[in-house]
Amino acid sequence: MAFIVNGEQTPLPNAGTLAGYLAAQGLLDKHIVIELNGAIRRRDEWDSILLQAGDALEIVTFVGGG
Amino acid sequence: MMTTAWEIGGQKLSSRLIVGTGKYGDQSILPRVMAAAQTNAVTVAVRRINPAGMQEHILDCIPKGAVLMPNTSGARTAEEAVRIARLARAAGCGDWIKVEVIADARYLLPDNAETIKATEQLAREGFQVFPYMNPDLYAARALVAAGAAAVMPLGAPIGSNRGLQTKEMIRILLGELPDTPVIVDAGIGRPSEAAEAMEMGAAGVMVNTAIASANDPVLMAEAFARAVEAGRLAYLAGAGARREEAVASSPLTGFLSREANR
Repeated sequence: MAFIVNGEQTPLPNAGTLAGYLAAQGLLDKHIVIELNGAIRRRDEWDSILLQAGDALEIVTFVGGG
Repeated sequence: MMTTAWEIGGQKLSSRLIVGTGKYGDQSILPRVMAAAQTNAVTVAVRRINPAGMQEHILDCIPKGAVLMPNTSGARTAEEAVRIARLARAAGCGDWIKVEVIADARYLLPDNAETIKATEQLAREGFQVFPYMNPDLYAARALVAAGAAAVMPLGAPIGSNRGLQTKEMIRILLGELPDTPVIVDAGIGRPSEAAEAMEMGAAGVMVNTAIASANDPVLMAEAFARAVEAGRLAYLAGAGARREEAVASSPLTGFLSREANR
């Protein structure tokens, strides 16, 4: 069972929430924006979202740019 | 003397220099660059997170209270630009977006038609839209009609440091769109070129590579701050007419070696 994180196949955590996954990656307190299957999900939704096989997750942030 | 604060995109800015944050090998210099530039509007990009590559986050390198202008770099179509803009706004750092739609890899020229489409959509969604554009009058008019807060014509290809190669086209935009802020973006490589754009009546300039690629970016940021200020003052002062022949600055009477004044 896998899902896709930023274009990479990634093992799906068992019965994991989005918040749980991000916490395990050390990203929960970072300045990130989440898009799940094409829809932006607000921070206050992360606790209640269960990750599913085949989900496409994008984790983006600001970087230096012109 | 500082020229007065101005308003654009619903924000009050004290500086007419917008500074980019890209191309710094060591981002820890950015606070000093920003301070020297005396800017309160800075651009950033939106990218997939790279946890391994995060030393200091870009937002920690930008002065508190600065207005953030995220760009849609990486977008090749209007649809992609809209997606990136929505992600940028979801970060909660304001509603400004610099629309960049680029499908050409060699010259990184903006696709005006897609840029207009993205601007229409994003303005409808309440963004303050700052489209990076090729300086074409019809495209600029369409961007204004679409609800752009300003237009950002290129002076030369991004990162080329070649100056105001499109000067005559920018002059036409300035003349024909007197109610639209024109911010010259891309290509400005020297403070003198920024000053020239401001003297022509540009509302502001956006500079990244020219500062980032200088031997001393902090000093160059200060040079750009002064140049933008000088150019703005010169625009407000109104330059005198150019003439083909000399017009003496000193009196043409009372010369020592000639007959007495009549």
